[in-house]
Amino acid sequence: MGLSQDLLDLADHLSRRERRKPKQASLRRAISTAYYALFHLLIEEATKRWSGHKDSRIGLARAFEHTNMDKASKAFQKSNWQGFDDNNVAIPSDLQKVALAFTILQAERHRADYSYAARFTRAGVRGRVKQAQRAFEHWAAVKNNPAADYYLVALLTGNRRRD
Amino acid sequence: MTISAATPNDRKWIENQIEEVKQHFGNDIVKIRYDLDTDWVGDPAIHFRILLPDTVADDDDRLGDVTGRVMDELVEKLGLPEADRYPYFNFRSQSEQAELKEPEWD
Repeated sequence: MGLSQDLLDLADHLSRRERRKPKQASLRRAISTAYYALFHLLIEEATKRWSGHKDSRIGLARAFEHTNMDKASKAFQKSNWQGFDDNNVAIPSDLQKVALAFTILQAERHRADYSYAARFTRAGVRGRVKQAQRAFEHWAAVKNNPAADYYLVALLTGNRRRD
Repeated sequence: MTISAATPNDRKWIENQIEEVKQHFGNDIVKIRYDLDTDWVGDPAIHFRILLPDTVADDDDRLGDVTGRVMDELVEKLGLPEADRYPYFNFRSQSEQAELKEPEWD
């Protein structure tokens, strides 16, 4: 969990900078970094499961797209998921919370990176970093559940299933 | 009752549920505001703006605890996972709002 954990630690650091009057640049970068921490955690976990040549994992990692990951994460916020072959899969609460954190952090990252009008505050950003930290904990609790494997594949496919 | 297609009656229900959550948190939450609209990719969304007292916002452990629990409770209370309406949460302290004075937080 090297890069993803380092990004999470960096997000935490950025969100605490400039004690009295945090700069929008620091707060915005903290949000964006927190999102990328979770983004890379999930990609790391997916590529680790690939048992082919390790160099091919680079190609697999590059295939993940933000839009598909958003679609999958919205589907996995529910208590049940239809499954790739219409097999109904119960989604554990921890995984629902990872999925929820992902969609929220992605939306906030978009706002932080592109919205000139948005104003970020220390409390708001600290809350967001805390949510990313909790997402890591929720993932650790659920990563060996089969539903986690479905989620990782759905992140790649954008929740596309057999029609 | 779900909030996938909100009517004025649904809004009353939503506000009642939100008020119950707020009451449950007592002085740890100042107010909760919300909008029903779409998210950045055009999916139905509910955007919450949660105002926190400085006593919570300035204490990192309490901030983490309160923000986590209020998100969980709002999601559960409103049946959001199943509602095809995706929740988004923003937090701000009273001092921060006193400086920014954004009306949608009042």
